[in-house]
Amino acid sequence: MSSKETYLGDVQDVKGTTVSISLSKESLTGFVYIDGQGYRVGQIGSFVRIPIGFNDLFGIISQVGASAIPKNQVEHQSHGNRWMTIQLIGEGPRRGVFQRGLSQYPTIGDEVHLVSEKELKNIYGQPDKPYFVKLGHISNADSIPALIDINKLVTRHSAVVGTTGSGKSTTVASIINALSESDRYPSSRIIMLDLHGEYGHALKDKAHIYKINSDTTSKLKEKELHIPFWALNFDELCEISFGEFNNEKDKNIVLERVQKYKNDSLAEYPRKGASTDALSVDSPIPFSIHELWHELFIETFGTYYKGKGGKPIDNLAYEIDANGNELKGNPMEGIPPVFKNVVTDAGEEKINYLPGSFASLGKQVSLLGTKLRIPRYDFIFKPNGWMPDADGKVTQDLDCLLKNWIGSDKPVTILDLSGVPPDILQTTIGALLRILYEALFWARNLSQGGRHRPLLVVMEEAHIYLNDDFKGMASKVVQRIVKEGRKYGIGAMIVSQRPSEINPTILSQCGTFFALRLTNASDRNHITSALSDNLDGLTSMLPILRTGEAIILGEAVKLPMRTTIEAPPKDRRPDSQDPVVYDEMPQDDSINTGGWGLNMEANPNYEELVEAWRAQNPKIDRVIP
Amino acid sequence: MEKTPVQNSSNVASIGYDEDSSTLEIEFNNGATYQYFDVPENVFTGLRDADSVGGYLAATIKGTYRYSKV
Repeated sequence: MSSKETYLGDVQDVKGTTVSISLSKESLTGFVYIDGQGYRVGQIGSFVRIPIGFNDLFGIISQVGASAIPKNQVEHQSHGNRWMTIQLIGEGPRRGVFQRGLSQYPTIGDEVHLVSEKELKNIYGQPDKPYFVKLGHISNADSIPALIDINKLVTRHSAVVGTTGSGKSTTVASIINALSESDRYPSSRIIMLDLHGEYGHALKDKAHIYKINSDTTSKLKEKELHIPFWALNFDELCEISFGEFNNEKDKNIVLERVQKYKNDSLAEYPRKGASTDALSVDSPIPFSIHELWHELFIETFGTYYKGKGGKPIDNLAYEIDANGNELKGNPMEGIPPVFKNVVTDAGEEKINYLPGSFASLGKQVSLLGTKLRIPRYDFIFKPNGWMPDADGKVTQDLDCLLKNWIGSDKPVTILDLSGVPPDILQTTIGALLRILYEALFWARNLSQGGRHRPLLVVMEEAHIYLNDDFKGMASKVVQRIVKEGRKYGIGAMIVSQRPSEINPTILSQCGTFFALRLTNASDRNHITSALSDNLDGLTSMLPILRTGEAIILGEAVKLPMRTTIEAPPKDRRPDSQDPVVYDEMPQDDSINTGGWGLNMEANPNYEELVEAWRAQNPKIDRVIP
Repeated sequence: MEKTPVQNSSNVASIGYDEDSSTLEIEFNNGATYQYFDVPENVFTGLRDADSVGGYLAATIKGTYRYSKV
């Protein structure tokens, strides 16, 4: 037999895609040489080949040794450790192209062979096809590149999972680097939700960075992130501005007002595509939330002179300041009017609350007022050029916003969300993704729409906003993206260290998995159950992967592969290094300025620490630009 | 702030000093930049003229002056 040296044993038992193999005596040396290269026999995760006629079936070794003996055989095996279990994964004609899926099964007595590096190359690869990108190489075969089909990767969604420190961000940076190579993919389009500001440095040449409290002087040329409140739909707007309503009636009052404001704005400044007949409260039409708030404030807290004729609203009882001016407040600055207290004593001018005032809206209206004043919320309520005047006039429309995000001269846009207040983070991300989704969905016939220029959305730290809570806005939108985005050219890449906290529907829709080291058992089970392949053997390797090593499996790869991801050059790595407790380098050469090994500062300055906290900005005033 | 490159240092790429505010800026070879506050000018000149910038930095500045990453 020509392939004697690769011969491992024979098929003894076939159950679905699980095949038990008894090893031959000859192969039990444990080490065989093929074309001068040594191979260890029976390594978990390595491939075997079962020739059947003109076809080869391929499988992955998932179990070796005593426990791999079929149950009914246990008693008959006197020296019985020579067993192996494999999972079948695909087939291919001899010297042809490998394909996933099986058209036939092996039968008892079929020979099982080791797969040599030459054959592996044939299985894994067509490196010359431009729609494959190389991320690294196969772990136990350095000469074989690990290739990813970007067609499947983008549209069928993907997930990158791994414990902290397993090389997750570096893997993401590698993937994005490969996907945004301008020679190969001049029109690639990637948007990243970066929760901790890790990627700006790693992708600085290829990306525009949008950030709240951006530092325009820094080398990264950050730009200010704005999400105009009027682009949100009604539910999102309420979450962010008013919080929970006490009852449906209050919600309807606000809903009617928003609708009216949008109507008036549209009547004043017609916008193509929108008409007052078809306008809904969710339509992205600019209106002044400041005016709306001011109006609601008056109607909630206002008092009026009962004795005067005419409508109560025309006789508001404003408090008077020292100069004799009425304290009418300032809508744009979020300063509320001040009203006189109710007076019911006989003989004095009677002051009363407005009839039909929205007393139960008090909390919501006050909350919005606070948010209009606090600078942290400016990115949403005072979005610069997108800030509407009282009548709804804006200098920039949404086209500028979308053009900045997904139509710029650089392939990648990083939305650095590290400055978003945590209480509205979920909703903000939800709103942001919905804006992108709807824009690309409706533009599906246009050249810049999603179908003709697909968008990859990378969601960092997804467990924070995609957890099992179905109420979450982000979770809802992402579910929609993973279920329907494929048809409209919006692909998700979900990155998380805690996959068990991610909504299972979302995870199960991911076609490709980059699984890095995962030590936690519940996380691992979650991933195993989300995988479409029957590959227990492979996922059992997850806890023992080396840093920077990933098992890539799913649609974007022909075969599951254990890959050593090629890290980007040192100065292009994401900025997620852990704080140094004690520097391993001698201090003279260290590039670290802190740690427990240094002397304690004589006069530690905690005023600046509090300053940064109060300002919610890590950059204190003392820093010279 | 204007910085002058440092030759032959294993860790420091460039240093600069702002006299008005006594701020010393240090850029490391990996691009990370720090500002040390209220550093006297003689410490800066000492650093600038030191045989080993990294050594002087470790001995005189680290753990003595407060700083902020920028």
